[in-house]
Amino acid sequence: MMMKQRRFEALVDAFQADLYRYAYWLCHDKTVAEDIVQETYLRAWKALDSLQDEHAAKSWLITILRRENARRFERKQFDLVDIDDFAVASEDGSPDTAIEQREIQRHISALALEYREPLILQLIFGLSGDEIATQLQLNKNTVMTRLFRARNQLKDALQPYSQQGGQQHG
Amino acid sequence: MDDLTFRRALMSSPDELDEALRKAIAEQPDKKQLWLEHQRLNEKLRNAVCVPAPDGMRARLMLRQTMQQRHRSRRRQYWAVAASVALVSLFSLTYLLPGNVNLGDHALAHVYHEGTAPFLIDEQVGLSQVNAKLAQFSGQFTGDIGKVYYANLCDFDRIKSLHMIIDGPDGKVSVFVVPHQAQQQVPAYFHDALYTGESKNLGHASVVVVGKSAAAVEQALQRVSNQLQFSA
Repeated sequence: MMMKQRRFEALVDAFQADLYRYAYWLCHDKTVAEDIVQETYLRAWKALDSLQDEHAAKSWLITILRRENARRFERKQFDLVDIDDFAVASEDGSPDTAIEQREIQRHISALALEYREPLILQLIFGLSGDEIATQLQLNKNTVMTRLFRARNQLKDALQPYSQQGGQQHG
Repeated sequence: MDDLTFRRALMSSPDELDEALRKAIAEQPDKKQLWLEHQRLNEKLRNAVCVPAPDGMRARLMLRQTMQQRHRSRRRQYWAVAASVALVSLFSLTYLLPGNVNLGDHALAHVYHEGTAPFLIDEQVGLSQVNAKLAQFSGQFTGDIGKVYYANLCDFDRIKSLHMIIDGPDGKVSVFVVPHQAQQQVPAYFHDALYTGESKNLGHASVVVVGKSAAAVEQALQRVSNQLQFSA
């Protein structure tokens, strides 16, 4: 039992922050995101004996989290917070950086889920195109196209910003 | 490698560079420049998605797991008892079957086996956080219910319920919002040597309050029930 407890704590320490971020970008609500992470780890605890290979832990937890998120929609759709209303703390860097970061967050939130989710998996967990394809049960070409479109939309949306920034920084 | 293919590859996955991409970056300054721009964009995106995890989330994760573990071992004890009793009394077995639940007994059992842990923490839970959890039962608090130290969804004898610790006039009290299911028995008053409890049927769910004094329990029950509404 102690061994199981230690494995569980290691999984919490290694992945809780990234799982929270992933959940947050799926639901746009801090409280709901933490609830999803709570449910994910409860399921993980119950099924911990089935996790044989620690290298598979990350994708195992992502799979559980995706199921928990889907379950939320089976039960009841939460009211989603309007993207202009949410504020994500960003205490690092200059005020300019913070404003730009908020702008980027707003545009990421506005991406369709089918573009947002593979991008988030890539940025937060560093998953490769193949790994994202396995996780989302899509073929790799579809994933690469969606990643391309996601970045393309963000690049277009942020164009005025980067030009401004470019001038400021010479 | 043509320009379009190069751009597409960078836009899809700037960190996954194959041999042809590496070669193009190394040999062609304009492609290296493009690659650097994409690296910068990617860095900005990565910083933007790295929202901070809430304070205390690790402690809450560990607390829930500990409670779950205690609950399960407790449940195993219940079934062990049930199995023995079943040999001598069919009545007892009927009592322990799922669904035929006396909420008063379970509220007391729940308070005992969670022990002091929920009473020691103060998560300063806001009304909107409580309402986000209550939304699962189509319920919401329409006004202030006083200080909430702890609020979480818990397994209340296989019924997913809201468990809160709130302030009472002379100490903390436990509050459960339990959605109604068939064959539920909800006694209006119940008690044992240490705790006293009271419940109120609100149609879609019952509010059950457990505390050490009858006056505190009644006051908390009124306060919570008056603000609780169900939409469906």
